[in-house]
Amino acid sequence: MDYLLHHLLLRSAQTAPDKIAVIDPEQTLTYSELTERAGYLVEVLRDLGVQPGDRVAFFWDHTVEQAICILAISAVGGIFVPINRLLLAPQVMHILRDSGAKILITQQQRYQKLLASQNIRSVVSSVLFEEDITGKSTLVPAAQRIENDIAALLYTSGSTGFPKGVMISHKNLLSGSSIVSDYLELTPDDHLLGVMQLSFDYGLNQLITMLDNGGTYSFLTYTLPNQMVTALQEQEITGFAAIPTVWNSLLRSTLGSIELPWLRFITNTGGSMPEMVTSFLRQALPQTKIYLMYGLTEAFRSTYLPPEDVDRKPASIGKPIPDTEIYVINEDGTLCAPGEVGELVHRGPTVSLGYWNKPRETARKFRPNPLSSHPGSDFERVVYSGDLAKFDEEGYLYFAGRKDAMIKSHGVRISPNEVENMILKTGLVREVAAIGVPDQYAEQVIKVFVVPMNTSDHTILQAQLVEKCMQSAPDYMIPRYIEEIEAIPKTPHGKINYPQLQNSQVSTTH
Amino acid sequence: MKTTEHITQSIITYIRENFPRARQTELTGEEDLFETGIIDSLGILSIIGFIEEKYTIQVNDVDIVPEHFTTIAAIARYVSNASNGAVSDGAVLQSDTNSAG
Repeated sequence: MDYLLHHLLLRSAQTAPDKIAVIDPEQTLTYSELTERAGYLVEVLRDLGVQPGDRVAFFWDHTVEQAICILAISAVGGIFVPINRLLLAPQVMHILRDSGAKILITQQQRYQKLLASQNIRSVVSSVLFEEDITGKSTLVPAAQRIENDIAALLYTSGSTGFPKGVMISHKNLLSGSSIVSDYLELTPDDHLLGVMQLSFDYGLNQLITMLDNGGTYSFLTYTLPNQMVTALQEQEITGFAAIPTVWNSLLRSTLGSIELPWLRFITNTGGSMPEMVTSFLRQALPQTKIYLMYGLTEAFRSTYLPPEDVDRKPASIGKPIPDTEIYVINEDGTLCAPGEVGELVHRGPTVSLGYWNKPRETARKFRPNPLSSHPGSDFERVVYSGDLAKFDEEGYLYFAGRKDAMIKSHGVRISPNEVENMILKTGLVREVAAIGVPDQYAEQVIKVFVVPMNTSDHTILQAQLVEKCMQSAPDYMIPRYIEEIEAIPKTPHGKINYPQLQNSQVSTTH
Repeated sequence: MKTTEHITQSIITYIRENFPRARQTELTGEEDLFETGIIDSLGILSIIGFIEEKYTIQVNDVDIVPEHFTTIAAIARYVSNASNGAVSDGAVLQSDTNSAG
């Protein structure tokens, strides 16, 4: 019976050892080679004393080593912590500290550039580099675990403070894989092109579905959209998953002018797809099924729109995925009528275990089922998404915005609070509020309203703020616009009045 | 050639204004925009939008390849070729337009 992540690898390796499992521009590994590479890392980790439940982080390029890491960490009974490869030292250190990672696996060059100046040995007990993890050995799982144990911590921005680790169980990962395999009709003949990082649940799931089905997963890091089109063509890719900003960039590519007869399906999540982009893709890829989906890390995947409905309901996020219920709940905790907007609530086997070491935030987001027929004797938790949605009369869902002020830029969920903390830390401003404003390429970019500490020259303040932020945060967190105001508008409760700041945009800019 | 140099300078100015990370280093035009982390895959699209608008050219999607879009100098050469040598800064371009009309 397969109930842990690495069981999927072992099964596929037994069925078809010589089948290609993972590819990146430098390496191609068959299932048996992937198993041996993971087997070697299991030995290394065991020798370092990794115990069941220990966290092992990796901070690496988007290459086959990431697959080796997640499988080996699973097999040794640990919890894998993938770190977004775009993060800078302060965020990486936050994740290492917050997760309590015992070991960091990273590349020498990455380490020298970003982490060498940090006191990293006070945080993790060992750092492993390329040469430490390159070897082959028989994969021998090293610990007893059950499906409800935590397999991974995926860091995601919450509505307050620093990113939080979402605890994903082995069961979540395997359920997610079977559910998606079911509706995408995945087979061993599938070959996915992976451009999404494994630190996002979406990217991680693509890899896992291929291990589960005995298919092939190609890692690709691109800079120009045509590089994706070339990969789709040369590697005879059958399935491709991306987010709206990536699809948007493909408008400036040769997609549509070359034949891609193997491309069976494409999927979108991470934001709603502009109808203009959907219709471009329908034209460019007339033979390819388009799945528009919706999900959040805390519950992995919630809905998908069957491809046959895309033309009829292009603005919908679809219907609940198999084995899942979606409720739209109003303020009184009861179900909304069709057309009525309420909070999207997710119930099903992909509901994660909560936030790592954050019982209060967990209790707010993961709550008892409000519609349970036996409340009080029900330990099930459902996820309150924080997203507003509505059903139409036919049971199709529509996204209707956020309950909070979360910003979405470059496909990344960013908490205004995190940006505000970063700006306050510069010591240059007295007060700050961050919002997202629409952007043609990045979906949204960050705009901050600041009350300067001293009355200083506007241009100098802007330059200083940006420069200080650049040292501590990845590009997608750097404000594109900075506006100085006399005071930040507040609600009667003293909280930042985000709607008022948003509304001020409509009338004054662009 | 002078025009290519002009174009290089305008692109540098645009990049400095729009990509904060570019302000931390001197730009010569020869550095790899992606490897240095100055811009990312979305950034290049906004640069393409900029040159199309400023030099009234249409960048062919087939041409969006590393050969033409990895350095500022390469982009400038591309723009210069695309506009068939007639490219220059706003004022001259306008007089060209006038004479054409």
